[in-house]
Amino acid sequence: MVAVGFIEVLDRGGRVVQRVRLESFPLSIGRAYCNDVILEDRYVSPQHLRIDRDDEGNLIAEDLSSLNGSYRLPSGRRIERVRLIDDARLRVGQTELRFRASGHEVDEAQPYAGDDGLFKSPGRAAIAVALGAAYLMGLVYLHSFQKIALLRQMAQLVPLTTIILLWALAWSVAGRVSSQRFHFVEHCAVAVLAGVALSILDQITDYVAFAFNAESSGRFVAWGGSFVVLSGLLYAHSRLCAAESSRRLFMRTTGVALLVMSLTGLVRFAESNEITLVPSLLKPPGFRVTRARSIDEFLERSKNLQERVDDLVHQKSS
Amino acid sequence: MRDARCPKPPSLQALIVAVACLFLSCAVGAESQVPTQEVFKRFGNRVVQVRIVDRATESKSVIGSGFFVAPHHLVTNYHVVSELVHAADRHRAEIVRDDGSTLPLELLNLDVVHDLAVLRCDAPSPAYFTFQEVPPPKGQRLFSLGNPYDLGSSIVEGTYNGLLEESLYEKIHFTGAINPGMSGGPTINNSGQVVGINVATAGDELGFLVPAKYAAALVAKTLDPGFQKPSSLLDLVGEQLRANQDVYMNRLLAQPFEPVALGDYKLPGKLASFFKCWGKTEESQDERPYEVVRYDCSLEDNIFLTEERSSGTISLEHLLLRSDQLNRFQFAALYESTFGAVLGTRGDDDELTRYECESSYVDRPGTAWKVVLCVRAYKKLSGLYDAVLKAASLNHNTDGAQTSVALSGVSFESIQRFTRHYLEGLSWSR
Repeated sequence: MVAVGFIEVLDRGGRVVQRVRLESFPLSIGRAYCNDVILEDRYVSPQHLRIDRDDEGNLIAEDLSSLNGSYRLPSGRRIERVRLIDDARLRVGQTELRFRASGHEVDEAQPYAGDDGLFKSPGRAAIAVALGAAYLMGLVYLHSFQKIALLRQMAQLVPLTTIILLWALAWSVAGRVSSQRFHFVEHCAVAVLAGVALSILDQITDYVAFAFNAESSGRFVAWGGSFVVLSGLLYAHSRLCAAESSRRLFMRTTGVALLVMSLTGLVRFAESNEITLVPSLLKPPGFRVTRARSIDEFLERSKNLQERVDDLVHQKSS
Repeated sequence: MRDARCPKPPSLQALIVAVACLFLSCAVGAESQVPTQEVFKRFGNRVVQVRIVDRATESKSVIGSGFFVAPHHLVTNYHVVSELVHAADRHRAEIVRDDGSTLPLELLNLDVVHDLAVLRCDAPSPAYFTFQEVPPPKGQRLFSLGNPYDLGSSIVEGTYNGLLEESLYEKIHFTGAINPGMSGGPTINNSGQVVGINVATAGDELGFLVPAKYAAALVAKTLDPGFQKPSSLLDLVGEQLRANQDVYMNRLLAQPFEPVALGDYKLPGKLASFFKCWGKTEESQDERPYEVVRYDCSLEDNIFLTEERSSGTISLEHLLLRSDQLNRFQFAALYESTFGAVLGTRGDDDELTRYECESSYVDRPGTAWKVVLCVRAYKKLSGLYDAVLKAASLNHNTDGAQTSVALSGVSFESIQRFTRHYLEGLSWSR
């Protein structure tokens, strides 16, 4: 006989743990071993639910006067008897059941980008970590102007390294728990690359701000860039952890990143009303693009300072 | 409790020296034409202790000295009674007599620039001082009266040593041990005329007096029948400061600043004769692969505003940095770190706003400079501002000059004039 569909037993995460083909009727569900579908759930009665066909061929689920009852999802309404249509869900005890008709439509296959998609192998991840570390050390070298300091400056990277390792470990453990995937090296690589991206972003903003004498606008660019990097970071970590579909994951991680950045943005905005931004960027002179002005032009530009600080006086007093 | 201002904090040692000097001066005085004890006996009762009391705790917050110049009027230093101006509702002033009894005082008028104040006492004093406005000959014996360290009324003998040279505000150089607490007391000649008002000490028998003519003028103005107590003393302070700094800015900006050369850079040096400047070179060493040349100037003469703040101070610092070992990026990191903010970035809630800054690249002969001007406003003294002007040369990859100059308590117009004058003093040539 051709199957009319399947009864699926779901775990709390919504994943299918048992799938039973509906071939002969009636089909019994309960905790007792005489059932067709045996549920290990202490809140399920030994004989809990029966699935049968009515005269017109519809599938009907019927509660067998169970102690805790059967409920329709997602409404949560208690049922005695209910007709099953495709994708109908029921709850018995703590267990969720789903009916899927054999004609149930499934999504198209996702293109497979190899294992984990991101690095394809721990070896490549390790190379990414090494390159990232080399970049950061190079950056430290270019910013050190004291000779002995090179080693000591490298020591400055110790707290950062520790944070990256702990962060990667936390994600690895999360991956292990959620989907048996412990990808420590890959998580390290993600964190290091995000650090590198932030630092490059920071450097570019500084140099552009220096070139055009635009230190205050640089902050907004930096904020937008940090948002992109944070989204990428969260997405990459989650992708390594979960077996979820990429688009949904992407939306979620972007949402979280947006939330975090909005909060930090708010804090920064509040601070910008409290703290002076003292323009103090200095880069090699060759990077300056904006032309130098005359003293008169500078004085003209700085005329507004009086109004700005006078406004602060009135703000406080009002 | 704190004593009125003194440039060097008093130490126990200083106290012992001061007390020893007292004995010594009495002994010497006994041999002079008019014995010191005679002077003290005749004029000591015209000098009183002035005390500022915190109303909330009823404790002394400042002590100083004062002297009668009319039956109901006495003179002291502005810095002794400044709390009556800045926190009037929290303080009151009183005279403390030798027997411990007190009389209330009312602040009538002040001269913040010369650190003077006139107060009124309802109970009349039987005797009072007059002024000698013409400076005495150098070397004349003078007697300074007051209440050092709250120890009771004292007399100190010393010598008149002329007016301080290289000082923005005229002061008398008095060789004699003026001590904290004697601030506001008179220094008199042996016929009892006030030559100057005790204002500060640099220790080691080096004292400073406000010339009597300023006190005489303030007293005359206050005793004039048409005089009315200003409705806001704080506004009066602001007004006097603004008027004064117009005068001194004009003096300062009358001619181009005397230049100082750091390497091939020329920067404003000693801005005027009353500035003190220091230079210092730190050669490159093993640990520090760059050379630093420092040059600092400051105007030590300033106007006391409150315990925390003074007006009219100007200080500048130049830095020349060069290195033949660092690459351009490392040098830029160094150059940026020394240019970084040293100014407080949050305002002082009661007195000052935070700084607001404007920056630009400014073209000067030989090089462009990054110039940053930061300004903050006084909340209670309208029309007065602090400013920090910074500049860093941008013509070489591994050497450069930076300068930073701070002005306090000046008008915005003065800031702009000063900025122009200062930037005009920047140049580079080989």
